[in-house]
Amino acid sequence: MSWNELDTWIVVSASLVAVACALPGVFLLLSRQSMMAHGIAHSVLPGIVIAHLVSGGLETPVLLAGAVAAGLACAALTRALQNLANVEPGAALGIAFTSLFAVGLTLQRLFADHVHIEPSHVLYGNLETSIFEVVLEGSSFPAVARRAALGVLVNAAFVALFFKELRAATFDPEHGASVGARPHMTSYLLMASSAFTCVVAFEAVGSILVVAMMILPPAFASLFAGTLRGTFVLSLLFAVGTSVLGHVVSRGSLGAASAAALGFEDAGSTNTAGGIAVTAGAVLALGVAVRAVLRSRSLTDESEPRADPA
Amino acid sequence: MIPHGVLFAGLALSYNLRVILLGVTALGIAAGVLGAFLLFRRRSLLADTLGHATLPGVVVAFMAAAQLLDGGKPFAVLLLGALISGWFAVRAVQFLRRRTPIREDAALAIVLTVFYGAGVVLLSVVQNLELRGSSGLELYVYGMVASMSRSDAWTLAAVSVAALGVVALLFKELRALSFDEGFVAARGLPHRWLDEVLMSACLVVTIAGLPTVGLLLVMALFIVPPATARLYADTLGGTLVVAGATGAVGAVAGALASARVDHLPAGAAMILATSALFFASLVAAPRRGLLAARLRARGERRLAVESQVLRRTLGEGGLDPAHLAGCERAAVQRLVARSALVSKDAGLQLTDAGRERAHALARTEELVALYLERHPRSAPARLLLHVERIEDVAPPETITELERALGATGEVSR
Repeated sequence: MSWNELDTWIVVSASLVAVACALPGVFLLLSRQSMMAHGIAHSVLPGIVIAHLVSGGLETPVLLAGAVAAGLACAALTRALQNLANVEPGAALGIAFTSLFAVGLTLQRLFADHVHIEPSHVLYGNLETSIFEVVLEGSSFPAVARRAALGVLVNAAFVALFFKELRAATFDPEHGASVGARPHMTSYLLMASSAFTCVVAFEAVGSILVVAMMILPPAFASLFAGTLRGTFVLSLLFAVGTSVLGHVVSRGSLGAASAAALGFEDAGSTNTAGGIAVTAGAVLALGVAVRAVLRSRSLTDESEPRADPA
Repeated sequence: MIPHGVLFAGLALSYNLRVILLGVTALGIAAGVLGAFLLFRRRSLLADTLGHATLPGVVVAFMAAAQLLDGGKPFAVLLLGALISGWFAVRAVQFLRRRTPIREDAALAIVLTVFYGAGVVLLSVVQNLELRGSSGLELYVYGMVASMSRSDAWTLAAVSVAALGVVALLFKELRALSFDEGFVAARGLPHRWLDEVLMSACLVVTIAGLPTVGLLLVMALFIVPPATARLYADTLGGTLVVAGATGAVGAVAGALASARVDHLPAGAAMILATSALFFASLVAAPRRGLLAARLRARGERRLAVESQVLRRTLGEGGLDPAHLAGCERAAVQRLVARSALVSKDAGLQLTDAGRERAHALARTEELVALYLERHPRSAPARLLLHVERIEDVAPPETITELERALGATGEVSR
């Protein structure tokens, strides 16, 4: 299998999706709300199912609005449970998103004849088949890539416009409140941005792997970067790098290796989104190892002059 | 009267379904009880990661079974696979949390999605290979009660009961672990080891629940029932009982609904039933519910106005009904009804009982003022609000001290 136009588009789309995800992801990770990304991603299903049942259509803006509303509902419900009923934060999030997801799954199954949304598409995503329109319809810029590019633009504009507010809400909400940065409002904007990103990305990578693209890049960056700016630069590099590497691995060795390990013949190329998540995990593990080595070396470097009292 | 025939027609359960309900009940109890310990350790979302992280193990086990066993139902093999990948997931979370600057929430999200990604990759391999029976794998994602066999149900029940047995055996140690980790360490109890036992029990029950509930929602059975229990119970024992009961009721209701309604995934139905219990409790629980809180706040507000009216009547030697605000008028009506006030020609007058009450209130006010003055740091914030009885806010020895001080300075207004 040689590299062709499809592969290029897959890599371009995946990189755009990864960059769109990493932008809000940095603030989610730093404000200790990584699992909120998971909750919001789960809310996408009920959001689009309800939007579809209410409107009767499958137009993207309607579904997008439904999904963003559901994501915000998940965030708001989590806060409400914490504040009103003193529910422990983790449990509050768990209750909010599992309830919403169960509602979505039930509605989809019960009205299966009317709902043309397959949960497994929302869950797994499929970058490869969504690119086929390049071949089938001869379109020059596939819709997935177009949507991902839109996601990058919107999220980049959001981060650029609200950078100070986001930074204040992330690192010192009380100080932020005192200088008028409105951390509460900002945090909801961040949730809305995350929900929007989930919708843009779920078609390509699925709602669970979208969390990998949001959290792994900033997690890797936080191993090495000391500043917010550095975290952003490293996150974006990681996002693009693992997207490219992930697809290369998926179409080549990953499927073959995993199949061969169990005694099957070559299984061909595998799900790219999953491949990217696994690759990102491997690179993160590598990062952890490198950091450990660097630290042990810098520790011994520092201890040498102390050992020598001259 | 509804005839018995109609009432019980819906409950004429087949033997199969009864066995399944038994298994599901045990699952609900075990998940609720173990989830309560997770909640106390603020680790509820670990169950979420665990559930999702079983996917690669299930798929690998499926492939291995297809290769080696040549057909047959590889239920136990799949669960073994799930167990192995779940175990690695717990290890990975612990490693990231202890050895890297990555914090717990991020560690959970990372492990969850990377393992799930591996599962998705393997699923696509299975699809490419077109292995026989691969459609059955979807079962593990969504859960389906209808396809559960009798032996599956017995396995589920046995695993759940075994997990509960472990909790019962280690009850004292787990209680210490939940509330006072330092105490556990100081007493030399095997702290790490206990944590491992708890995690392993959660893992085993999660996995036993996979085929019924599905890996997307199995964690909700660990999260929602304990949170419901916290709305009712104050003690560990009480929390465990209510959590187990909530889990059992939710799981059985969901399983029944899923068995009766076509296409209704069991996991979703169970979680909907359990969440319904949670949200109903959130509104209506006797003490911690939102309604109870609303009523209590209203009661306290009324009491405060009543006290104010009594004090004013005492201070001014009577009260002119014409000079009352709206809320005060209602308070006066209640006080008259309770014969603390009587309406006379000169206006409202205190009865003997009312006068006694007003004096007691005045004294409390003085004690509180003195308490704030003498112990500004140890005084609870509630003192700044309306206080009905000093005993509610101050320890007995402080009250004795304050009363002695009041008596000594002769400020007693009685």
